[in-house]
Amino acid sequence: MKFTTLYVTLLRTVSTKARLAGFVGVAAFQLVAASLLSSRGLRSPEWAAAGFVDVFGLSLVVPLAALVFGTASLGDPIEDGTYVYLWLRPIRRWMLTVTAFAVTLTLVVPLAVVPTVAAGLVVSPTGDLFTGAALATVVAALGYSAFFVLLGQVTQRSLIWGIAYLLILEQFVARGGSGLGALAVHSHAVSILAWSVDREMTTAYYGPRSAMAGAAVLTALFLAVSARRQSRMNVN
Amino acid sequence: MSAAAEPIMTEPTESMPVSVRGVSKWFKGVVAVSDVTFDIGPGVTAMLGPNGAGKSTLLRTICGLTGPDLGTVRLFGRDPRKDPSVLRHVGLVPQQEGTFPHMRAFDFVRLAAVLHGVHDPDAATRAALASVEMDPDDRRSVERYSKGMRQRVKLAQALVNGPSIIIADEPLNGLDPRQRVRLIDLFHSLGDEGRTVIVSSHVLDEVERFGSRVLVVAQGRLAAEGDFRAIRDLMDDRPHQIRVRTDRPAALAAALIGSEIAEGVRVTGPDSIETEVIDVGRFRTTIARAAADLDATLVEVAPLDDDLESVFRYLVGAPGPGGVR
Repeated sequence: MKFTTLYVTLLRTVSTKARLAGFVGVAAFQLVAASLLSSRGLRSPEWAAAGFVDVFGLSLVVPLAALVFGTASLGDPIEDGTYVYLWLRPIRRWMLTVTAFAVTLTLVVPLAVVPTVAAGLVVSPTGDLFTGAALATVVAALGYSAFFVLLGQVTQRSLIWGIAYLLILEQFVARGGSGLGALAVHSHAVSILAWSVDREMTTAYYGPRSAMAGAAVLTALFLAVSARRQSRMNVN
Repeated sequence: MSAAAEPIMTEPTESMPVSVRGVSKWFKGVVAVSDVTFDIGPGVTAMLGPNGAGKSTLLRTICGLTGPDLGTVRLFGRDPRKDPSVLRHVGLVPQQEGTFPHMRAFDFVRLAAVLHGVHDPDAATRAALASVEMDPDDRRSVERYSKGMRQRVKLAQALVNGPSIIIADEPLNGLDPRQRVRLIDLFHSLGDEGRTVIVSSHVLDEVERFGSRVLVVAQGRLAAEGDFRAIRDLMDDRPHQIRVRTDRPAALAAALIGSEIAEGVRVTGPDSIETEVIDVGRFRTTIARAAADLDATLVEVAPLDDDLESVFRYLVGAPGPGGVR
């Protein structure tokens, strides 16, 4: 009952009309763009679809949705002073992190993951692409959501820090090889996508098992740090 | 039973509800609280200090919302930062205004009840809202309430679990006079039930109405604690100002000057004199004897500076206490 009540409270806090409308619009644009792409008589629709899923989904829509909803899940109540009504209760404090993570996924999956996979299928309706796109976007959603929940908890102006993180670490540093790429959620997600369509893609350094294990480690690490900081944070 | 439906929690093992030992807290080199030590037991205790004195930081530290940089805070012997289970016994009315968007008062208070693990959250919510004269069935969101109504809803969420420690940071802000009286009565009844009620304020009149037990905080330090009249009596370095009303003020003034017990004597009206004395007990004996010798009638012998404002002014050393009305 405590988890459900927390979940509903945070979900209502995060899912403002503006945010929902914005990502519904982005999803619609994704599908329209995919339709236009598929109507151009592609020589290799599956490769094109993988590229589309990578560029629109894994690099843009999924991380942005996780950024907006993830940072808001704890960041909004912390900033507006309502976090005290959740934190100052006899509950295990990691529950706040887990709930925020669940709320973020609740919004990211239908508003970013599903449209991205659907758009990929519009371009190339094959089983391999569906498997790869679904797995890759879910992995990305998990990793980014965990990271941005943590970011919203520990920083002010977390949207700006989040965009900086996406541009610098995920898109730039990760290109520095498999060592640095291991720190980036995108590298793991795109590795899964590349494996599914058997195509070389930028920063796709790993096999499917390594990629999933790496993403799982990152996700668990972000959640663990967030949960640990719950007990040590100063609440206003 | 006053506010909430839940009875006072009885589990705590240590007897002292609030124990603060050598607590210091600073922010980026600025000392907010400095080496503060006190215990607070059941009943109403008012925390008084000017704006910026460190009251809110101290209250936040007591709740565990922030950790002390030095020292320890214990609630019933337990550290509220490391042991959230002790928060079952705590209700906080924070100073900040924020409430969850689009949330009704009922849902706001019920949220607290559920997270506290209250057995029947709906019934407890209704009782808590009723205790602050709010309608549980009001469909409006709390955001749309007046400041006073929001304040009462915040108090309801602090009472919904029947806490044995209630901490309220400036709870009367924004309330109209009738609501103030009502809430002060409510705090008194909570204290009478054996709950530990800590109420901060920078308004002297309010603090006086909360009762005589005060913690005076100034510049991050605990300037004094206890009954403010007793605190005044302990201030040996400050002469007591006393007004004497009599039918022979001039003769009595002359007698007082001759007795050398008074440090200064002024005739302030046709039937009154004011004087400053160090030893109040000796003064009362002396003036009674002088009045008898002079065949003068003593209408009144009244202290002029054992009110909270005077005590506060002496402690803080400010002629007009900054931020304190």
